[in-house]
Amino acid sequence: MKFFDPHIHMSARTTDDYQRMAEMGIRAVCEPSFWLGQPRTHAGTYEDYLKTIIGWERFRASQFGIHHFCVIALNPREANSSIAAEVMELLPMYIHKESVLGIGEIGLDDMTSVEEKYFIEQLQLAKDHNLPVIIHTPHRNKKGGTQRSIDIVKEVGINQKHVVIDHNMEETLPMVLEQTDCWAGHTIYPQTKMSKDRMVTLVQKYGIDRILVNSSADWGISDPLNIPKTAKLMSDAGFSDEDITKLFWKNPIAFYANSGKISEEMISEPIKIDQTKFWQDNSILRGQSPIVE
Amino acid sequence: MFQDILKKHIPNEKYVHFENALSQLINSYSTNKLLEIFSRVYQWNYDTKIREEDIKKLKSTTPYIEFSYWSLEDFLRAAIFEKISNVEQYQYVEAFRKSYRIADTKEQCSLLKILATTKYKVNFLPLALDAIRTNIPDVLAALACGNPYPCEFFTLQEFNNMVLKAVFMNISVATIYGIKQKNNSELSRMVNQYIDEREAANRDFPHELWLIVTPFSNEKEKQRIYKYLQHSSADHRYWVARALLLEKQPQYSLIKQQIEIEKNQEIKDVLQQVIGDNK
Repeated sequence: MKFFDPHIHMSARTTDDYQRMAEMGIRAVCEPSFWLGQPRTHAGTYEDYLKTIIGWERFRASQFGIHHFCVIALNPREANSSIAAEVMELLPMYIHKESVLGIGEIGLDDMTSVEEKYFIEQLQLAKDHNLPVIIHTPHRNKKGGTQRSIDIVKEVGINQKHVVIDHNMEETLPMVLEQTDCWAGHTIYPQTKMSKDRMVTLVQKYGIDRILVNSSADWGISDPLNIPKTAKLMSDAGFSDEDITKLFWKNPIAFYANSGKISEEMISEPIKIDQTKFWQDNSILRGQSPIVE
Repeated sequence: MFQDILKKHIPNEKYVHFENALSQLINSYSTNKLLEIFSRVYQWNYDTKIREEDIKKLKSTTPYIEFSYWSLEDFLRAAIFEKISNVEQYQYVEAFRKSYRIADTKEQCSLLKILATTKYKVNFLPLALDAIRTNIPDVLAALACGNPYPCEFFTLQEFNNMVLKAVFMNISVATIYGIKQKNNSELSRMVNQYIDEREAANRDFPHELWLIVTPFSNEKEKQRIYKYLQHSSADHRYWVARALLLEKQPQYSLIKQQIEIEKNQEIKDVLQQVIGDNK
């Protein structure tokens, strides 16, 4: 079975993770811009981070046959920091890159007025360029933050089919499905946010249309294999392979295809690892035991 | 020059779209507009190889660039910078540097490959030197392979750094432009030491390294070269034979012995060339 993790912070993970993800069928990932766990003190380090997720991280993933994409944004946590304005100036230079599928993750964290300002500006940027958006919903004051996010999406007037409102729980999922045409995202964490078994219960109740599931694995306690593990639980609960494929493969592709930059055809095969023909069609790599699949 | 090639290889609708984008860029030039077009090249890309006859035509005007290493995307990016060649120097240099600054891996590769076709080449030396520090083989290969820029602009030390990095990244040194002209005793010494290390660890090493070490080896190192002329690996024998073409005083008797027992015709032919008139 093929999987697409639509929200995972691979630059915080190890090559062992990539290896196991590839073995478990994860063919594609999308990496939203994130904070580092501590505040950045310069916009320059943010730009280097952007370059990492459009360059080096993409290469690293390709070494394990995994297609790597990203969405870029000023993260809600950093909206309150001194680097925010400079980061906002950088974004338009990078949104046209081939692997940049959209804007994200944006939204509210402490729910300050500055967060709202940059949330709205970035939604507008996505609207102007017809790009998908990942909206982070806050950990604290979850319902209030989700409702405010929904209201802002409506105020900006962005195409709601281009928006995923992420990190939903039992209380917020119906709000997203009933009040909007947005996608509803869920993050499967080992201890917080959504758990695997609760996710199965949610799709039993609400179905799989407009639902996205991700691991959001990062530098904290998290599990990059939570997509295939949740798929296994769904299979045990009697979901068909077709439904599981739709939820974990076709849905994320359908969402990100709004960027005009990816399609199922493009990513259905893993990147072929062949170091003897690594560079165009010319065998410029020689020497010791190249990996060939 | 590059637009002519593209016109022949991209479906007409895509090409017209690309041409319009270039015209709009020139009509109201700004760095940001250039950056957007540069980043959107994937939209006009088309999965095809440049025809052999066109590569030959290009080589007749620009013989030092190995255009067969270029993808269609590289030609598209080269065409963009060709198109803006009449903007002010500061604008051109800023456009190239900023494109490199925001480039993803494929774009970085293109910019490095097209360096030798740019205007104001010397301005991009810091950027080329920075590329040697990459950990992505494609990026280093774009700078080193079939690209005359490093040979023309790098000091010997910088060139040596690039070649050694290529060796460690498993990139064929035989494809590095200028490897024969710019080879030097210091590079040869470092590569010989690398071969020592690999032999001590009982590990193989890139066969083409004989091209670098052969012209500058001492007597002891030469003995090793001739030992590898009899190696069980045909690749080692082939590249030793190729390297011996660079030798001022090859050991004809050893080469003749090898010709007699060599079963691989290609290697035999190279060795015949080495002994030349001394048959």
